[in-house]
Order: sequence, then C-alpha cells, then structure tokens
Amino acid sequence: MTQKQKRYESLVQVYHTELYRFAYWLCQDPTIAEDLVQETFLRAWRSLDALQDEKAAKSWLLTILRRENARRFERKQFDYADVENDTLVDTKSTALDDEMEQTVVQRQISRLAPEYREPLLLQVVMGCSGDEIADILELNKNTVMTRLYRARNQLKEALTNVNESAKGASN
Amino acid sequence: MDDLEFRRRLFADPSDEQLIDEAEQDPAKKRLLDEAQDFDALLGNALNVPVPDDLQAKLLKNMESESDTQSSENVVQLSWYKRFTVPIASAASVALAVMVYFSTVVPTPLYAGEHALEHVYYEESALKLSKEVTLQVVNEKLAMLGGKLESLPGKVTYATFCNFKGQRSLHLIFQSDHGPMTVFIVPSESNDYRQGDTQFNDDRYSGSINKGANADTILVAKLGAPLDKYQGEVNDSLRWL
Repeated sequence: MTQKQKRYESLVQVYHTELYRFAYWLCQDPTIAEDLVQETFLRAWRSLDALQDEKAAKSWLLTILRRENARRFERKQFDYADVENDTLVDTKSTALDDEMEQTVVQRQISRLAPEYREPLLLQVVMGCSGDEIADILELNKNTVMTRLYRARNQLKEALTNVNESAKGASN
Repeated sequence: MDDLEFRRRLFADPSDEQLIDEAEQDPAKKRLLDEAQDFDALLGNALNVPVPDDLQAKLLKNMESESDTQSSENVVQLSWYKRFTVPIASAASVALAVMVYFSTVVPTPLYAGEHALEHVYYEESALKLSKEVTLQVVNEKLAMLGGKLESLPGKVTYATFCNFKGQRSLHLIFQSDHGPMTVFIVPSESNDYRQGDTQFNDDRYSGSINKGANADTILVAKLGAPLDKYQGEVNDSLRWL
C-alpha cells in the first residue's frame, strides 16, 4: 500500500462517522448524506497531495463536503417540505420517554434555520472550536458565537414549549 | 463576568474553559454550567444518528477503483508531445543519422567493388549455409525488382533483399564449382554506386560488375574463379519484365 493510500485510510477511519452525521444533518436525508460523504472522500483522495498538514484535515474535509452540498443545490433544489416535521409531534403520545425525547430534540434541530444549525453541528458533531467554525463558514468569530448562542437558546425554548404543552395535555 | 455575559458565553460554548473555572467559584453559575452541559449531552445524543455499517468499506473501495482508473487516466491526460517524447527523439536521431549518412556518403566516390567486398565479409557466415533456397523463392523476391532467373549455375543457399549502397537489391549465394559465389542484383535506378572499376579484388576474393540496362549484376567469388564465365551464365538466364 502506498503512503498516499495509508493517509487516505486513516482519514476515513478518523472522520467518516462524524462527516456522515454532519452531512446527514445538513441535508436531512440518509441517502444524500452517504453520497455526499462518498463524493467528499473521492475528491479528497484525488487531491490528497494538497493536504500538507494532517491537523488541517478536518477543516479541509468539511470544506469539500460543504462545497459538494452547495453543488447539489445548484443542480436541483430539493424541497423536503416540513409536512413530516409539522405533523409528527402532535400525533405522538404525550409521554416523553427517552426515545421520544430524542425524536423531539431531533425534530427541533432540523427546524433550526441553516445559519444556526450549521455552526451547532460543527461544534457538537465535529468538535470544532469557535475559530475553526469561523474559518470553515468564512464568518468572524463573534458572529459564530452569537449564532451558537441563538441556536441553543431557540432549541431550549422550543423544547420547553413542547414539554409544557405535553404536560398541559396530560393534565 | 455578570450572569448575562456568563449565560451568553455558556450557550455559545458549554465547554469553554474560562466558564468552567468561573463556575467553580459560584454555585449559581455551576448550576447553569451543569444544566448547559446536560443539554449539550442531550443534543449530542440526538445528533448521533446511526452511520451505515458499510460506509467505511465503500469509501476504501472507491479509492481503490479510483486509483485503478487514475493511473490509466494519467496516461491519457499527458500532453500529446509528452506522450511521443521517446519516439520523436528516436525518429529525430534516425533522421539525423540518415542525413549525416547521405551528406557524407553521397558526395564521395562510390566504389561498388569495395562495397561488394565489404558486404560479402559482413555476411561471410552466409557463405557457409548449405540449405537450398528454391529458384521459385528466389524469383518471388526478384520479381519485386522486376526480374526473373531461368536458372542459376549452382544450388542457391542464400537469397535476401539487402541494401547495396542505398539501393534495394537482391543478395544471392549459389554453390559453384569454385565454392560459394555471391551475386548482387542491383537495379540501375540509381547510378550513384556505379563508380570504380568493373573488376575488383582483395587478397581473398575477386569480383566483377556487369552493367545492364535494367540492373547490374555483381559477382564475388574466391580468387581464381572464372568470373566471366559465371557472369555470362547468370546474365543469360536473367530476364526483365
């Protein structure tokens, strides 16, 4: 196996799980997410020589993946209507067991506006620092920190409301 | 850091080291910190969607098939002049060699006899051949020069096209009563080689040139062989179309 192949393999090993989850939350479709990750690693393989510093690998892969995702929108704008998201909460049981709670949290995350969701994904899924997120999203760090704050704040409020309406319904 | 600032920064990054340090001094802040970290754990769990089992294997396989096609693509992607570097260099050196050859050889007097002798020495091993080449085979070759032999005064053991001073010619050897005898049949399309005497010899071989209308017949045999007799026999049996 060549040196290049070894580098590629270790990149796949270290990052494919996180990248898939990031892609999943970016496009909210498991099939597209898988395609995105495959395309990202294919492009990474082709230009692996351009990656000088392994420490920059995560940002580099994320940049490729985000570009691929943007390309997808250039090709065709899939509109995954919020029908599913809007109806699910009301039809489910009001008992918020763990599984149910996770589903509710997931739903609220998917409802976040992309500009709030993406920095949060980078932070929680990818473990990026504020500086790294600013770099990847090409924003200044203050903007990034503000969006992270708002993302959590919105989620917290939304989940509190869900909890309260659930409690209200069970009364 | 006031509570509002603490809260803002906590919601932006619950693992901020500075906040964690500050929370150690303040139970209210510690409570907020714990709450925020629990919330992040909840988010983390929700975000950790299952990853397809075969994804890693697919990614490695993609690379393998890509590196297979890449190597062939690389060849195709080479510029046309790079692809032909070696053949062009070879062709250039051949062309140069040919130019040098003609520029040096052509203006100098062409002594056919010397060349005939050199040629015989160069292919001396051919004189030792004994396997018969049929007249039919000889004539198939000779036909390409436009000639035909009715017969030859001896068993033919060698028949090949060769380059006689730049002229495509037929190189024959037949077994005469005086040992192997070499015949060059050289079409007279070019007169370049036709300089020098019609009789020539060195300490081993002698030769004669018969200048014909269609071709010259050059005979080389061991010293002392009756060349005139054989020249007559060969030229009598030689027909031109």
